[in-house]
Amino acid sequence: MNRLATERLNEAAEQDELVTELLRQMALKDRRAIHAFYQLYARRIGNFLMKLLKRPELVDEAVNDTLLAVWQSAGDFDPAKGKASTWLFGIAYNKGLKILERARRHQGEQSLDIDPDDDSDGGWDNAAYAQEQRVSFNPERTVLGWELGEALNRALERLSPEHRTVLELTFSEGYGYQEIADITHCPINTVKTRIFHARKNLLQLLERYGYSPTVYAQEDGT
Amino acid sequence: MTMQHAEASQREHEIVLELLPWHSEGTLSQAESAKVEKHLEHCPICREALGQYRYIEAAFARRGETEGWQLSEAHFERLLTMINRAEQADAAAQRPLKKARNGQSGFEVVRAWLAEPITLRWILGTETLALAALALALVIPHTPDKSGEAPVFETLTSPARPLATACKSCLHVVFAGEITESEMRKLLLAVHGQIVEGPSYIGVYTVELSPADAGGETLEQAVKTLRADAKVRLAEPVSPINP
Repeated sequence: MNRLATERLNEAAEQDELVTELLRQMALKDRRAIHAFYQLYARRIGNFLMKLLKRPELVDEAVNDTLLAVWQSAGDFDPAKGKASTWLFGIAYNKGLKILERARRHQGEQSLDIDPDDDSDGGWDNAAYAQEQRVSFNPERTVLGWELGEALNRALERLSPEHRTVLELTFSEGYGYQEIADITHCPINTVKTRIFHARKNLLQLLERYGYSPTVYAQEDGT
Repeated sequence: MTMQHAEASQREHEIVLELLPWHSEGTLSQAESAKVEKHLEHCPICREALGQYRYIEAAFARRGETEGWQLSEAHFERLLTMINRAEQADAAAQRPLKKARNGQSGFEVVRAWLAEPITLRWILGTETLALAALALALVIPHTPDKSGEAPVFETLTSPARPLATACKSCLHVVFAGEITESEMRKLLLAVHGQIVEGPSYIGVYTVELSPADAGGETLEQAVKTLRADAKVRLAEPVSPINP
């Protein structure tokens, strides 16, 4: 395990202890604990939900639904069964999905992939893509730098919420496959299948935007 | 290479391929990492896939923070409002009468009942009485009195309970709403008394002292003992204590 990963895990473990303590206090209905918890953790939950829901007004609602559920069921959390952050992200993911489902019903919004576990390209909108290409594609942009991050954001928005979530939980939040399975309430094999297809779809999108792993390897010297 | 060996090798390849995202992120166990490292030495397909995951990892690392979600006090206030509403709804759902339907003991129901605000208790009590009286009037058929005397009507508020009024060794006691069954039992044992009536609709119990302790002095002592306890709101002899 590399040094960065070890540091990140140590930091996460410390934060987990603090969150566990706050959950204990919330179980005793201490309002100061929910305020401290909000200050400490709501942004992380909000950022995660932002990637799933994409709209701040929906995220506002999902964060509060999540924190209300945490307040009401803090006493149910058992540290022996898993990490506090995994438990919290599981609640946040559930609340986020419910709100996403409702938003889809109201707006008839279509995601890129109908079935997140299907090995297809999801039939993205080629006309929209062509328009986007005219705006953003430029061979000179294939140089690496922060633009890759911007391209990633655009590509992630076009993936299904399930693919986006598994990528975010792995590469942004640093969770292992078992924890992602716990958070998303999926079998481990589903998590592994999703990330396999998510990688394929993401790389195709990035390549269409002019970013490819080959160029990265050359520029990065790896 | 035998067929079995080829199958085992293919299976190992599939397992490693599935583990690669988390190898890249450093979240695999030591045993899994070792297995992946060993396989990568001779598998160009997995090395290419690992390169792709590292590319994705690098893209995530280069992503700006601008699209993040922001905290605000106003948002937190909305959360507190939601918590308050949810707790009010919970409290309403846990009213004692509802609990009674869920198998609560009669004693617990009485305690919860006593804990209710006085006004609410009276309103609910009056409503219950009115409904009970109406139900009795509808269900019990009218039967003429064989003695020919006019029927005597009694209401629940009539002071016609001979025991309570005549008892010289009895006390009226109102316990605090939060008293537990064991605390009540301890108090009754301390004064050698037992509940013979109650609770009334305003929460009054009639406690009778054992005959051996029924003298005036002992009754007075029992009153003092009960009044000294924080969980007793009222303790009064049913009849005036004889000097």
